[in-house]
Amino acid sequence: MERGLRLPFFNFEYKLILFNRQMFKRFLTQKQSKDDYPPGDLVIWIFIYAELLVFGVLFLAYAFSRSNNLELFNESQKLVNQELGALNTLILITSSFFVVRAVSAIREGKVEQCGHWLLATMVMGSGFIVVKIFEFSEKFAAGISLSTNTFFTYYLSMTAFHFMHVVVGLIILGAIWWKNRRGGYNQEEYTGVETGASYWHMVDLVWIILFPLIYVIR
Amino acid sequence: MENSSPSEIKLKTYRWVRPCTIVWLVLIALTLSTLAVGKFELIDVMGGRPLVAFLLITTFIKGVMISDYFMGLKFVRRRWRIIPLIYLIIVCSLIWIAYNQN
Repeated sequence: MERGLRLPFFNFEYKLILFNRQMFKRFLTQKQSKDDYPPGDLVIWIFIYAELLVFGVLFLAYAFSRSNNLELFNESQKLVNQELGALNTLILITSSFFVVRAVSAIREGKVEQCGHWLLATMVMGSGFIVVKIFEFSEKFAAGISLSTNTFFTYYLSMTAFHFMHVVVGLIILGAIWWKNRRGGYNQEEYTGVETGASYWHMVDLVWIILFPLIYVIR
Repeated sequence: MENSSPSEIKLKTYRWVRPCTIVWLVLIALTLSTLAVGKFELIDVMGGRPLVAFLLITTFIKGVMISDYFMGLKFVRRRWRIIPLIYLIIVCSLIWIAYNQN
């Protein structure tokens, strides 16, 4: 009987402490908890890391080839248009910012706003394409081609390879925009928007390294 | 006249200046600094190595900002965040080594 009187009190107190400790632990884990997986479809992240690896190899091939042809690379580099390279960097950074806003909008359930931000991203991406085509045509008009020298082989192949990624990114964003317009995404389901956005950021990340490497550093 | 308490004003200011907006502005500023180095041929004027280091460090910072804030890897488990981080460290370091071979 005595035990019966004591235990409920003890248990109550213990449960209270336990409850508080659990609450405290939950508070800590909530504060520190992070998502298990990055935003978007997991497959796109495997693709993104594979793409980064490919571009990484190209960057290093360029850098080490340059060390064997220093004069040739430095002289040839003077012929590339730094302003257009910088303009394209600003365009891609801004487009990446717009796609971040598109993801934020859809997470907040603002479907129409998400569409507008996606459209703005595509306009900026198209701007990149236009500038790049102008840059390429400028080089071809000057008689520069893949076989001109080692620098231009790298310059044209790396920028053209990146250009193709921008085109693919625009197609992906276009498909997402179309699906969003038809009500395919909402506050609960927006994995597609995050997947497309992640790909577009990868395109931006690659250009962030490509621009100083090819256009500026010598 | 609209009456807003200081906390409301603070909240409104916070909502207007999102972290991604600050990241975007920093990225723009760093890109313009990279262009300035190239345009004024500062590498030729001031000597190569310090400016190459500056350009590679700004590239690294820009890359980390994109992966952390734009890609959102800052808010997921470390294993996902660390891959682009290691990638940027390796690529920038090896470029630095390649540019200092001669």
